[in-house]
Amino acid sequence: MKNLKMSGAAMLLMVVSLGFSQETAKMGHDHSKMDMSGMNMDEMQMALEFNDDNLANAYAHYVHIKTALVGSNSNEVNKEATMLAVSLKDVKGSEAAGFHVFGIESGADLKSQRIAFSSLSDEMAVLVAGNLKSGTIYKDFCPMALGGGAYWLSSEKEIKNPYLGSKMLTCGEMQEEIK
Amino acid sequence: MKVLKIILLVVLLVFAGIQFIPTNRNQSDIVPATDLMEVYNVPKKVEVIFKTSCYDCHSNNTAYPWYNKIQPVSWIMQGHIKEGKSELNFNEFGSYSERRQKSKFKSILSQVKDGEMPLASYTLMHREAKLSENEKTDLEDWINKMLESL
Repeated sequence: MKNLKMSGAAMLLMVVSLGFSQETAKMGHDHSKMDMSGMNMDEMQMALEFNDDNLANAYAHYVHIKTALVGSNSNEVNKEATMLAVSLKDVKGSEAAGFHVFGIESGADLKSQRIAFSSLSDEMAVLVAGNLKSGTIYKDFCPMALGGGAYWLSSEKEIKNPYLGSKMLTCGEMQEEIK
Repeated sequence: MKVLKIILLVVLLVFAGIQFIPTNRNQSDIVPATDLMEVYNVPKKVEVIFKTSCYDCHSNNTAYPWYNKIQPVSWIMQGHIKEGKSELNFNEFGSYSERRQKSKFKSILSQVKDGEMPLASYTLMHREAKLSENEKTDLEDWINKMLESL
């Protein structure tokens, strides 16, 4: 517990030193609401609904990070990560997830962002499990990602791999359905 | 107050300094023929359990998290992996004698049952690696079946 507190303090220190202003935090919040309504409209299958609005918000930002990684857009990944960090603050038990988001934010390039994203994905899977009111989240796996294989979450059945760029966009398979 | 500042500065300097000390990485693309999955017919769901909850420290290939780049995290992990592999390396399981395999299977059973493995410090940051009751039963059933046939 003491270690956790210490790493929390270290995180805080680093976040502050990286210079995230309050303004970006506010922007992130407004943006999130906008995108949520957009996502619901796009839903084809049974609409994805969460027991917890904050978690729904966080998941929407997670999906944005994934989409940015699919497109290999490092700057976009960073922006979305900052927003996810804000929305995760209201989600219970999200400390580890928040830590991994910090890993994405502090990642200097796509490679390190993707490594942190895989940890975040594992953690998000734990967070969303049992908290869905309706709809399905797919847990996908690509054995070629990051050397030993990595997971990601998706609301669509179609495989869009966030780890390997445009050359290997469809590498991977669904491993689990989270309901 | 001045003393506190000095102490803080020293801690900061040491922290910065140890970042330059390199560690060995436990990574390999090769899955040897002696790997547990190669020598035995492991059901998919049991394989997933082994891979998610055990292989990071008990094989030649670790999926390192992003924070492994920070010392002293690297050291601690290197120590755990070294110790883990010397106790049990699933990549080399096929090269163990039948007797050793049996004893390893028994150790896995008892350690999983007692919640000693996977390590608490590991599941703290890898919550997906934590074994659910169902997963424990699947694992135990398969190992018990192996123990009967060996």
